[in-house]
Amino acid sequence: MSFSEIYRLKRQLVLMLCTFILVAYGSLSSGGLNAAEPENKELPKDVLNSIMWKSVATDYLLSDKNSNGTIIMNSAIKVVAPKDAEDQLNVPVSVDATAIKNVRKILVVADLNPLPEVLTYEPLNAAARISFRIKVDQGTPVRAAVLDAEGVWHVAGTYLDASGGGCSQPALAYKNDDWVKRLAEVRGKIWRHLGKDQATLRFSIRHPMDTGLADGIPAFYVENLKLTDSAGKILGRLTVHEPVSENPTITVYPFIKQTIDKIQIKGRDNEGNLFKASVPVPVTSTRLQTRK
Amino acid sequence: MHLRKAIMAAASILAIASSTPALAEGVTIDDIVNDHKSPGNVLTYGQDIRGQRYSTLEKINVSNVASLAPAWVFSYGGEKQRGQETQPIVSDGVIYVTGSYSRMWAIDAKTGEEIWQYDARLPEGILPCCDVINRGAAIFGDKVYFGTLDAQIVALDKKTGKVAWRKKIDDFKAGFSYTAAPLIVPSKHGALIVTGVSGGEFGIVGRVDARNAETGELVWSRPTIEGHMGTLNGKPSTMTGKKNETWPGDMWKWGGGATWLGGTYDPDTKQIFMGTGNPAPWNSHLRPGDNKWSCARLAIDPDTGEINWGFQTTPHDGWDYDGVNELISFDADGKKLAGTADRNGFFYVLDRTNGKFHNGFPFVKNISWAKGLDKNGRPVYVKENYPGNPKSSKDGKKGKGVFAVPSFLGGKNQMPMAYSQQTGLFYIPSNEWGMDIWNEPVSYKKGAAYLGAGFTIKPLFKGHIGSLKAVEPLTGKVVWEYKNKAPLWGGVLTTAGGLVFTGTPEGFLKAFDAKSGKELWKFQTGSGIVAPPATWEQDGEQVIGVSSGWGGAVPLWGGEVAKTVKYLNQGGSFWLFKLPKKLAAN
Repeated sequence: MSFSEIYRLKRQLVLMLCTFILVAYGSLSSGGLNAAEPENKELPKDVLNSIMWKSVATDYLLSDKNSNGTIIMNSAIKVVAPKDAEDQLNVPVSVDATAIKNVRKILVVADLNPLPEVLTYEPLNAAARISFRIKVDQGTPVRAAVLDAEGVWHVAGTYLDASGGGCSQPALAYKNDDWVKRLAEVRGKIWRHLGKDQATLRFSIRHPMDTGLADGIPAFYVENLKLTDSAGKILGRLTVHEPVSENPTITVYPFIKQTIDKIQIKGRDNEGNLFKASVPVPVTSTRLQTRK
Repeated sequence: MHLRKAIMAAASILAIASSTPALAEGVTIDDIVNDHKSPGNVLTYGQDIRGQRYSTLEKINVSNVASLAPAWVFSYGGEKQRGQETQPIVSDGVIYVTGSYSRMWAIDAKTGEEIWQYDARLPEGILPCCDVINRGAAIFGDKVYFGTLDAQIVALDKKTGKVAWRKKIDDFKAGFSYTAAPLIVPSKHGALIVTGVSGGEFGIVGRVDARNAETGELVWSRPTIEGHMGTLNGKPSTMTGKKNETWPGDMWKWGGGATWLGGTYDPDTKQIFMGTGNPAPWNSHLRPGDNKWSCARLAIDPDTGEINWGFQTTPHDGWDYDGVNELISFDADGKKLAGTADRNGFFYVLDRTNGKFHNGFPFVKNISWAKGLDKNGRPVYVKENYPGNPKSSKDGKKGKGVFAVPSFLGGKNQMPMAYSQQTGLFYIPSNEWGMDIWNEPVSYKKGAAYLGAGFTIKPLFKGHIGSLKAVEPLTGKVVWEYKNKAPLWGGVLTTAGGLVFTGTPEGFLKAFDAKSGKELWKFQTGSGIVAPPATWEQDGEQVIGVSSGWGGAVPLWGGEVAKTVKYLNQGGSFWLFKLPKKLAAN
């Protein structure tokens, strides 16, 4: 039996397993096994009323070494996602935290995904905004938590409804047996903003982004990304997790001077594959960015 | 204690060249070179960088082994079972074991609980010739290493199982893969991780690569086939042999000589010993000459990647008698020797300082292709036992067939033998079988099988194929023999407790009296054993660990042999055995 035959067989068993994992995960997390629970600190009431709020707050927010223990709900952060997911493998999400001062990082969590952590973005020399696509396994709150320089977490989110199964499906890339040939190819484009030292960078990485929940296919996903301008300045850093969609397409808004002619994207996946790409910056701005 | 640690740390810093990053804490190169002196761990494939597979532990011994009992069993899980040919690495109470389909686990040696699992994401279309197996990991510093079926070497953080780095050995589409346990050796460049290549049936060229164990950067590379250039520090170094000395025309370009079984290291002479596989293609009429260095043992200088000496066991091979089998250093008669049991059915004792032939003898019965060995260890060929030239046949499509012994799976295959310092005997897991073989025309095509031969294996005797033999290396005397119905494929361990352990395809792990060969104990592990057992001490107790999971080359190529193995079921588990507390105290 060939490899592809074996994989094909396994794909048919996927849904069952995913359901099981979900149930198992749910019972674990609600069982109060969280180790790093802070003493007596009241969590603010979750605007999304999620049953996972307590564990999200303790696992991802209060455990951060830069957190000062304060969490506030802050509607100044805009989290945009469709009300209903048309395609649970590719749900567009945008976070705009430009209203928050001194953003250290943006953490995105989909509470009810089997793997809730979506990504972390550090806009070191970029606007605190990011867009991308995610996989969802069922209807879930999608929230952005923004850590400021004081160590305060600002949290906002939206509820996204979806039918099941996004996390446990094999990547579409596997329809093609030689997917590995084009693995980690990067494509990107940059638009300068009119009258500002800023640009829009949209890039896409060819990667299956396996969650490890599709039977017989181990977790295999882009883990780290670093964006650097041609002068060597780091513009932003991303830590990516399994729920980001196959062939991740990410849009960010770096600050770049007129003299910058390239942005370098460097990355690594969890299997240690390294990749990099260089995206040219156009000299002039374009109409696209001037539209409001 | 502190002083000793300080000295060892200083020594290991000295051993690392200034260009490499600081050595992370953990297993040192001295620990690795002295693995056979530290019974509390297993840091090398062979329990000994020389490959002896001899343990000084004697808590489990001839008088109490009958009570040996399982302490726990660990499942490799999933639907991915197939052959488990792996030997565990054990360090600080953690077992690192690899499995089929390029997987690895860290297991708590006390409880059998998983600490982490790593699954390589393999591409479609990998080309392993002989099952999706792996033979084991290597350990150094804070990392564990293993090779994957798509011909990459992966370094993992030993605490978390996260990938530290990954390096491509070669293109899996051309037929390269990797299944051996990597070897870690000292050198003037610091600790090197040494790997060979698999893919001998696809016309690849064998070579040995040495990388900086910390960073994975290639230090040197040494092709095994004459005419190919080696590299050192990123530059071409020297050519292996002399072009066209023992190969006609362009045939050396796809000449085989795959180093697929890894190697051993001799701290006395500071040499890496690697075996090389069959020349390609199998059809020998296409490549008149000795075809160096196919079917050979090579002694390589770890500092330069140069070949100090080579010894060809089957020059101009026509039967797929790979020369890859392990060369084990041992001392006898006041001489620095090394022993190896070849696929071709002969056992060779070499002077390991210079590769000169010391003595040799057949270790399986009815060898047909050679009458014996001459004074230099060169086979005295039976010319008529070469499969005939297809060109001499009527239609040119199939040469005259012959019946040759041993079969292409060899008098001994990948399963490692053991050398007991207590008895002075080698314990050889051998098989008594022959084959009908004939040659066909063939030409090289990237990624396609490059054989030019057809074959089928036949048992020689009614009741058994497998034969575990205790052999005196200097006389060839067979002190005892244990016969097994199915072919042996599992490897041997011997201990100062006077014991010899080996597993069988029928699923038993067995213990024998090292002196008499009397079977003292057996345990059914649920699937066939094709992996070498290992032993170490933990919390004052001696334990034995072995992987169980039927597979490897036998079920794939078995021919008539299939009758003895076709009913065997797959599996995938690691078993740990120890004595019940009361008995251990006695």
